[in-house]
Amino acid sequence: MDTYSIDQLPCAAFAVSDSGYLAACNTALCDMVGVAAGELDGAPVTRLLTTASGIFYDTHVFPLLKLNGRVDEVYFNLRRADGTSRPVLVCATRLAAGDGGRSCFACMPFTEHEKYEATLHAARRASEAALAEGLALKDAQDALRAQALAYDRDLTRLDQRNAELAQVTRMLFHDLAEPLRKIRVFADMLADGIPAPDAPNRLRSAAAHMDSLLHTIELYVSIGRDALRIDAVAVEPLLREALERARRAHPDVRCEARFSAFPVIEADPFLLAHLFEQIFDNALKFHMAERSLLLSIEGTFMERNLLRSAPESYRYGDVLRVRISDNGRGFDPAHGAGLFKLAGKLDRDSDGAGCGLAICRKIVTLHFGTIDITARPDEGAQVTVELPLLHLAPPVPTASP
Amino acid sequence: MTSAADPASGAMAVTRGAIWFVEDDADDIALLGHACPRAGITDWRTFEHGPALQKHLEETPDTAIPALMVLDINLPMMDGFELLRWLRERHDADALPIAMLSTSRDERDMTKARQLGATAYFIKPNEFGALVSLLCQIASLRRAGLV
Repeated sequence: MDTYSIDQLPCAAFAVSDSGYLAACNTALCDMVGVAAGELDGAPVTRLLTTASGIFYDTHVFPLLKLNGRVDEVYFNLRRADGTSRPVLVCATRLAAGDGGRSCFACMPFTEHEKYEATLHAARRASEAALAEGLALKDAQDALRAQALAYDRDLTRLDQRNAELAQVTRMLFHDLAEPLRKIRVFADMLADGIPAPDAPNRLRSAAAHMDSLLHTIELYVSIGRDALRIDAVAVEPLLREALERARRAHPDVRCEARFSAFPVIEADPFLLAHLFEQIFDNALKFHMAERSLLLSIEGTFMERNLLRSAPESYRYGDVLRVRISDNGRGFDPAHGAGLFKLAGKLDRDSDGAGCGLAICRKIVTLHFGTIDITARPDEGAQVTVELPLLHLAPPVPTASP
Repeated sequence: MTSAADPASGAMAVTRGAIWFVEDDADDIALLGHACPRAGITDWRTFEHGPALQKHLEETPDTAIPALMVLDINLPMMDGFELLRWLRERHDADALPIAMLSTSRDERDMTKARQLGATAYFIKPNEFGALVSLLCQIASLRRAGLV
């Protein structure tokens, strides 16, 4: 096998004794650091290296060579005769020989690294800028989404006010006109001396009806006139208290209620209590005389589109669904369309002005929720209320009975 | 055949055929009780809501339909318009004249009644004499040819 001189190698190379002195340097190395051939022979290795690279050699490279026998791809700065430095990528192997070990180093020039580093830094800065821009876009998107929800809620509120106005107008011009007409006709009969012994009582009854309608309008308009007083509401105790209050108005109705567990939500506690008391009152009022009233009150979380007014827009969020089912008289679903209107009751002989469910819907809509009622004749009714969890508070443990 | 004095004209009006009113309001039914005889209407009856009338017609299919039906609009369970639609699906205007009698002065209600095939639309009057006159007018809408 032919023998070649280290001066023939295409890279700078040198050998260092374990005691830290240069044992050999090739021509390429001397050229690289700007010294004459042989000038570095026997010099300490630290003369060839910058201070930092010298420390690196002592603390890392040499111990690794002793431990593993080789080191790959480490980075040295060579000290040049003119005071500048020259970066090189180094691979080294350790040769154990005779009276002491020696390590051979091959150095590849690494002058392009600054360009690469600059490119890398530029790429990194660009990616950071893009990320920041992306975050800013995301913030803007979040703000837009929040604004869309707020806008949708404003629209919903306006729709609700319009619907209320239409209801109240209808009551004023139609429902109130009825008893007024009767008062005029019966008064007319009395004035003309037409025999009508029932006329005085009918006059009184029509006046009482007018009074009741006016009271209904006042109650309906007053709900939600002030801003909602949002607070954390533990739903289950509120439901139980609402049922107790409703039961006091119907002491003769036998009733058994089963509650599932409910979370704490943010809502107007006064209005929510009124809502559920009204629903329970209806269930008690329209119970079947032949059997005990069974009430099932279930709470479930659902995901729903929170946007109500914007067409084909979606913003999904959690809602609490409260479903109150009873085994009462129910009704024919074909006749349930007007139930949520003012004076929309099905049974004209029942107590009240028929505004209960209209007020329920108003309360639910003020919370941007929905209310629905389904029923079957003689089998019972099921009221479903869905309330968006705008700011859900941590749930509290609730016990089922 | 029955006859009665027409308070509006003072002339004797010949009336014939039954009139069925769909009216849930006890006061209005009482008023009909006072006013119908004065308008010469003796063959009349009331149903308190649409389903009661539907049940009657379905349970006794051979029962002759009346010479005229008069529907209130604001009725429980199904309103007068729904009932009008249901009746018109079964009987055309020649076979069964249907008048609407309501407190509503709303043009939309009147238009809707016409579109659904009502023969006439009347507003409940505020005076007893006007009610009797109106009932005379309503009685004249009865299907011809019935005795």
